[in-house]
Amino acid sequence: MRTLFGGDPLAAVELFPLSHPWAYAHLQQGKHNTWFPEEVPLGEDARDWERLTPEDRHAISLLLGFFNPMESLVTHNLILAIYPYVTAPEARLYLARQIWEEANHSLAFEYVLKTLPVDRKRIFSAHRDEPAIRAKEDFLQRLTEEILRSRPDLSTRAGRETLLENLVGYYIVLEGIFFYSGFLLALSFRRRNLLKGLASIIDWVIKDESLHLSFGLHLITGFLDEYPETLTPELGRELRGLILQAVELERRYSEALLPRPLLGVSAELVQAYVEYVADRRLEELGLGTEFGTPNPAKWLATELDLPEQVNFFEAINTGYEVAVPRG
Amino acid sequence: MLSSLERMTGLDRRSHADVSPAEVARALLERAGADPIAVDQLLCEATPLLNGRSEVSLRQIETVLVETVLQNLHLEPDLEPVALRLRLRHLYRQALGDAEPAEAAYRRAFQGYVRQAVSTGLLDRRLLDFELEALAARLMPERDQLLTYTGLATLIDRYLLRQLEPGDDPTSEDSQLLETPQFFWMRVAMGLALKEDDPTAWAARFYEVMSTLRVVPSTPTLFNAGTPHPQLASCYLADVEDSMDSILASAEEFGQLAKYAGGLGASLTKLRAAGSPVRGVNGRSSGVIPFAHLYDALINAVNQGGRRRGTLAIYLEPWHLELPAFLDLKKNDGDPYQRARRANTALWIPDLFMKQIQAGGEWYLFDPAVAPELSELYGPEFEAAYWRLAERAERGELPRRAWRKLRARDLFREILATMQETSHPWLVFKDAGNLRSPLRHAGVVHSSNLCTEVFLPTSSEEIAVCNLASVNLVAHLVSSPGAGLTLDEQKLAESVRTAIRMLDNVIDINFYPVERARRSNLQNRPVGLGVMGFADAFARLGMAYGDEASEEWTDRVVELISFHAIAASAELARERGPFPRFAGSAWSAGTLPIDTLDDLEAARGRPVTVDRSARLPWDELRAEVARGMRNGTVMAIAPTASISLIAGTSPSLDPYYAALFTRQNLSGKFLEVNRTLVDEIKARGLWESVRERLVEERGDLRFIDEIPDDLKRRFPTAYQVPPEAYVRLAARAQKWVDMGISRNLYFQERALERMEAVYLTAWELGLKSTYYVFMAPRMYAEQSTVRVNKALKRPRWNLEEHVLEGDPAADLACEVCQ
Repeated sequence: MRTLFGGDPLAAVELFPLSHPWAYAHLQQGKHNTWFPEEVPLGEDARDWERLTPEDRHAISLLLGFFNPMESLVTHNLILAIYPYVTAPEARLYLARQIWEEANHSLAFEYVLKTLPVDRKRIFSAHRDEPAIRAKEDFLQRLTEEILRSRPDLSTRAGRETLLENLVGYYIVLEGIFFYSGFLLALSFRRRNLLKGLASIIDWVIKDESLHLSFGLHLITGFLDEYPETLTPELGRELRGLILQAVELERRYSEALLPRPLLGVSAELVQAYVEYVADRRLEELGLGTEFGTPNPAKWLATELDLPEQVNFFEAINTGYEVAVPRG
Repeated sequence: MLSSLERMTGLDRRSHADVSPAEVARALLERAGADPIAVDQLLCEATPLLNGRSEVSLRQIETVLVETVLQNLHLEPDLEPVALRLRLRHLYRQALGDAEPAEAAYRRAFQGYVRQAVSTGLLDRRLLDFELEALAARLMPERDQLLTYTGLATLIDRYLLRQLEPGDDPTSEDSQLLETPQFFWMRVAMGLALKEDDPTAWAARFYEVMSTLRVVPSTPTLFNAGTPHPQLASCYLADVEDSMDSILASAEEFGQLAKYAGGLGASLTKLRAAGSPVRGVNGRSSGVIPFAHLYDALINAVNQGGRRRGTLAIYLEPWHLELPAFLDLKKNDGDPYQRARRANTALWIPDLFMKQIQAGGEWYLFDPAVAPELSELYGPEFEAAYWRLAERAERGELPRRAWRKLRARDLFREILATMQETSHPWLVFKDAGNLRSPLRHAGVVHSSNLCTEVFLPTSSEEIAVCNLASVNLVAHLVSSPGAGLTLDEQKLAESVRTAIRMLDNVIDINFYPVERARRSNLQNRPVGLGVMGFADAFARLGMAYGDEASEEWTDRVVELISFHAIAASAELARERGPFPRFAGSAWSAGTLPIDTLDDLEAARGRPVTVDRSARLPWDELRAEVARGMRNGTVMAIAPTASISLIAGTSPSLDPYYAALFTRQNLSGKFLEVNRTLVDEIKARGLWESVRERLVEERGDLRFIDEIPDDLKRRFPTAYQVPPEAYVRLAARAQKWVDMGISRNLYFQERALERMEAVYLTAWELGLKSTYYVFMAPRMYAEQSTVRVNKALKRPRWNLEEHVLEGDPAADLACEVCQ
């Protein structure tokens, strides 16, 4: 039985027999989910752009201004902070796959930015210029910097706690909370029959992120299994605090995105959704819920939860899977 | 003019300081028929979205309310009419100037609309020749209530005529709507009755069958009937010749056809393969793929005014040397110049290929440059010519680059694997398509169309045309004491006969963007009547999709439709004369679709094992048919993806995808609910306890403990129906249909052996077509509105504070606003 963490970081891959079949299953499903941004025509989105109100454009611009750099932060963190510590080969292969997917997301948002008639300069610099985005970015960068600075040693309590905070910060906070408010906002445009190409890209990104999140939860529970002494109420409270801090950052971000309500979506609604999602993440980590906020966007049942039968002539099929093993 | 509501609340477009948006919203919901409990709950959800705005228009309030109702439909499907009525109010205000028009004003408005739209050039001048007052009197405004919300939203988004100012975006919400749904049905009816001797009387009859949703013409007819550019046909079929002249001339024609909302099926089988010598320039051909890419780009460029996307299906026979590259056309990676992103691909499969797969035999690919005869042959003649070429190849008489040999089964598995990935190519059967065609004397069918249901001959002289309409089975179910719900056969027969007349009229009214198409259509006069709502009808009549009763019922219903469609065309021949190429057609020999199964068997040299029982007086009809038919073809069962949304029923022969699912089209993403199932669950008092589980299980009943087994059996998801059942159902229908049936298939399993067996069965049972293949997804994104990840192990931190007990998503809703 190979451990997930703390093995020889330079050992060559000997994949089978698998010690962590769940990681291999994530890898296989990830392969099936392969997509490319150019599959989605954005001509209609570009026309839609002309019909958006200034408030709509502001919200979408800041949204893209957030997604684009964040995808690259995840990539950096995976390579610099997480990969060196995760040593089970099946998990490392998935990390490599995830790195590719994050890069693909970066390219997808670049593709959107270069196709829509947006103010590119403003969007590219939004993560520096807009304090609410900057705060989220700082929050994450600090976690990566901490790993690079302290080079955690997993045989020490401090080292283990630093790595766990990083895993929670990226897999739970960024992939599991920060991205979700963006998904909500982007999909609210499809609900108005606008920006459907962008929504198709978001459909795909959500599918990928669902898998990342699921992998991350497995990784975290796996870590706690291998280092059960880490499981202390003090650290639990700290992680909880990290998530609540993220919810607070998200509040400021929502207010910056939506200074006035758009048709059907407001900063309050987004924040309530963030609280709802954060409760779910807290629960998944065994940390107990905080807010008790119900999902304010019931329409996500139609947008996300139910299976879609695609009318191939009129919509992009985001449900297909590639790389079929030949029987 | 202000409606009483607006007067009551003192509102027209802008809010008044003394009337709060919430008060207006309450009044609107009450008028739309929401019950008091629903009103409170909906207001609670809607109010936060109305607050915080400096001013709110009535329109915005209505929009927020509609969205609020819609987001509850998966939990309370009975609210749907509330959304419909709210949306209608807004529409009436735009089209009629009043959300609650008085009857006289409504009828006057119709006449005003027609006159005005004629004067602004939106409608054909000949519409003024109708007795407008008489037609206005026939309008039944209450029939707007027959629509589903999705149907209405689709009509508003794309079908109802709008007054466009120069520079207006045609899809803008603000461009002025001119039609209500009833005005729309009447405009289409008038557009189809233009050349009748008594146009007003016929328009009234056509209106009757459409406004009751019994017959719905195809989308191009609904878009364009009654307008100065009545391009009403759905499908065009073309065969591209192996010359630069033909390739480029076809491009011009395809562009014109796509501009007017026609879908295209084009055979590229004749194009020589890459590397084939080109005389004149002393070079080599670049083959099929770059031209497929060219047509793809062309169709993409012609976006049809945003109402419908340009659409094209490219057909190739599977003996073409470039088949492997053709299979890659729809892959999502690789050189984009070797891909066709928007165009669809289809194989036009001769029986011999299927026989070789079954026999484990070999398969040769040829460059059409050395095998020009193959695309013009079918049946035994094709087989003989094919083996002659194979022998020549083996003897070294063909250039080595002009042929390849592989195992038929290996190639077929490759095709099936590509279908799992891209849902393309569609598999369509050339021999059944030709051998069972009533127009064999008029030429070879070289391909099917965009949706694989039309089978018509093409040539360098003729582009085939087909116009389509579908009867809606559910609109013909009647409830009678004692018998319960049954199909009203007489009413269905009437609908079919009226529909055939409407379709025949299209041929003479149609605006033909291309001369080759006009020529062909006036010679063959083909029409394609289809049918939709099978799954919906099965559910209502207590059958499970694909069970024996549903097969039997399908057989009987399609027999009935076929019988009356053929009879109606024969009667029209008495009235208007037969189609010009009647002499020599299968019809002229009294040969009916059911009879042509014998031709297929004879050519194959093996039986087509489909039940042949009949119950209608076909012998009498044979004699009538031999005297004359107005139309070269009468039936084709189209997929009806768009018009079934308008009719509010299940498309074509398709199953319910799941108990709850969504459909997306150009007008948005819509929730679909199997209403019969919901009613059954409600009748058993289980709705509240299972509705969230239904979402969580994505409309699959199997793992919901509370749902009784009989319902689980009766309402499978599309993937739980065995694929063979889809094939058998289509075979029972196909035997009665002179053209084809778009048959979607659904696979839970990915084993290629299994798929191969199903497609072989489809071929053996005489299907002419298969269409999209849907593979059950192995993974879905994380759900949002239901609790998930329950199975996951939770770390135990021994935290004592901060733990909220119970379900965070439990219904705490609305505590804030009580």
